[in-house]
Amino acid sequence: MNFIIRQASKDDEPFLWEMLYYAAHMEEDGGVSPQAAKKNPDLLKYVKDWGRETDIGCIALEPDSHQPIGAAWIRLLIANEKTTSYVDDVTPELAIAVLPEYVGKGVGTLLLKYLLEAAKQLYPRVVLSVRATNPAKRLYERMGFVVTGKIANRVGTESLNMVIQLQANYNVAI
Amino acid sequence: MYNSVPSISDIFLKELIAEIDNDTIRGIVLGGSHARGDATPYSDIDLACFVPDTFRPLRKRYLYREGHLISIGLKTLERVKQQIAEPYQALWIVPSFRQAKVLLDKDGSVSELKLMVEQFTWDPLRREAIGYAGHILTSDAEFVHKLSGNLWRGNPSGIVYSVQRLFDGATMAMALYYGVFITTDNMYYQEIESAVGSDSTWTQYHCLLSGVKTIGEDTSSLDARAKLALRLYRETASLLLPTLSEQRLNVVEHVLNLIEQAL
Repeated sequence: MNFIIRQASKDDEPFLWEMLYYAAHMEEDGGVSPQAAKKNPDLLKYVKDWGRETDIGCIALEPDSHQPIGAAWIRLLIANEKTTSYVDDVTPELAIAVLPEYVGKGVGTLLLKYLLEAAKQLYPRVVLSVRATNPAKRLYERMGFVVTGKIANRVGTESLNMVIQLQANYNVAI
Repeated sequence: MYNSVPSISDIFLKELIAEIDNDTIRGIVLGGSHARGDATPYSDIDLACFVPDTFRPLRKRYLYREGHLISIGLKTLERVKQQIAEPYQALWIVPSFRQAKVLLDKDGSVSELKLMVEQFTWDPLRREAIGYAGHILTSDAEFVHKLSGNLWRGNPSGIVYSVQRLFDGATMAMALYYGVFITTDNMYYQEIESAVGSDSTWTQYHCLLSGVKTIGEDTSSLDARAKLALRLYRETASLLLPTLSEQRLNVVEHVLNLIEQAL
């Protein structure tokens, strides 16, 4: 299917909350509704007040209905918002999710391509954390992410931090 | 330098600096055509402001003052140092800094950076640059396939997009392979074409595809442009083949076979 990707705007915040629920595997951890992420202090900083000047995101749309079906976004989590994936003050953290019924159709690959292309303009690298058992790790490796460390995640199992170095392929002259 | 038209006055620059300076800014440099002295009446005034390493976002902003378009980029010392160490970015940033004029330097760090750029040499980056050129050639396999798919399906906008991507990829790969420093984006294509060779087949296809040259036969139809893009890929590949790793070579050889069938 030819999924459509567009830039995320401030108005996408409700959809990002829903996507955060899937990105954080809250359904596996007994989360009841997509709104659960809003109440979790470790998670809410990924989406709260979406639309900061340093935020970049993109949304995947179903080609016929134009309904959003997935999202990938990056945000600088620094100062009092640091996470266990913190690298430095110029490295944003990535979150990505696709609605369960659209998983495995290449939506994640498309989202990542668009997002990383846009991220190049602002950031030297991007970090993400992925559960060690998550098959998406292979996708991240294909895109150029490399494992930089192991961490205990929110629910006590093992997660991996992965970083991609971004090389701008455009004119960086003055 | 040459008969440049409207050189901007020192007073105008001083006023401009006073307007944009703030406590976050460590220094300001003038780049582009006004620094080189070859501005046209339409040239913008390119300024780069240096801000602390952790400052984000580094977005450009634009103003109009006295009929001039002013573009104000934000840079950090750390980011520029990183860019100098990465082959493709170095090709742009090094010449642009060498030409630049330091207008404001509160703690000496901008002049220090400029000195570092003056002393830059390409040799340590050459191997990585050629590797990166091979990577671009290999990843453009995707656009050869996309182009073929769009031709097969008869999808004009998809053809145009793939042709453009293949053109950009071939250009970038040659910039890296020959280590072509870009003095200005106005000269980007010419500088690369002369590095590859003005009479080379690569340059012939590149000029036809960009549209700066035409020949007797029609080279503007979608079908003709698609074929030119495939031929340009083939020429780029023939230059880079000896540098490719086995894995990349395998991909590129398959793509070259696909191109042979399409032409």
